[in-house]
Amino acid sequence: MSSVADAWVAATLGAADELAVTALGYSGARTVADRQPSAPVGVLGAYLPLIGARAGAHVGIVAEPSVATALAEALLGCTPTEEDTADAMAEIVNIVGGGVKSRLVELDSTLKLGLPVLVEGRLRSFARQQTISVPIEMGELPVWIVILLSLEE
Amino acid sequence: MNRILIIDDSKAMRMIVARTVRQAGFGDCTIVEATNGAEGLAAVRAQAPDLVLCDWNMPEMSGYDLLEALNADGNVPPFGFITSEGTPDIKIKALKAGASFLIVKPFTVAALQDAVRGMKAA
Repeated sequence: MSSVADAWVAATLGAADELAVTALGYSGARTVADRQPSAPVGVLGAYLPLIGARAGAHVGIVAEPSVATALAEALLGCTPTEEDTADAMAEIVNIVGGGVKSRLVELDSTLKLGLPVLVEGRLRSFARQQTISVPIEMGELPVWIVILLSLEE
Repeated sequence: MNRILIIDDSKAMRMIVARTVRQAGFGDCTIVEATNGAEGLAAVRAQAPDLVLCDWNMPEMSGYDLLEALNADGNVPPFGFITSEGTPDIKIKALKAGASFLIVKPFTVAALQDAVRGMKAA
């Protein structure tokens, strides 16, 4: 695993941990298994692009639908509708994306945050992207960080 | 403070900001919502809010573009950003454009209280 990939994973995990504690009321976020080279299937979540002059990736947060509902309930403080859950997952990845951007300023200060895109099923990589899936727990809930890392030309 | 305008394209975030506003001690205020900068601009012109809490990245019109439009109007109400954009250059840009504060998500009730308190003291 390259140092650039390590930096993206560390930044995303750090941002997810901050979100878990500050916005979800959990004890934190931690990795629970080795990274995988493919994205999980049957999930609900969102991703957004973080693209700069020297680095870029799509960063996703996905989970099984029942877990996504639980995350939305923790974020919103009420029982969410399906629409609320989708919107909450988009907001979760938006907050995490902002945290990743702040943490990677030294890697690329030109990173720009795009708008979140919902995922249902599986987050598919684009051409010339490396998929890195990191199983984590937010509190005790199983969640995946998925990073589609743009490969250098 | 009577009327607070919350501008965010995310319904979830509008719910969170509204809840935080109440928890921060502004439960008596009327909360008005808009889903992007263009709607927010219309709401500011029509409703003269006492405080605007605005996202940065939104479709149609960003929060920064909204603030620039209000500057062009010569009518900028007390204005704060609540955004996931937390880099120093974004904060400087926001403050130079006339924002009173920029709160980075995820944020706490205390962060909102401190920001509003600082705005009143300024």
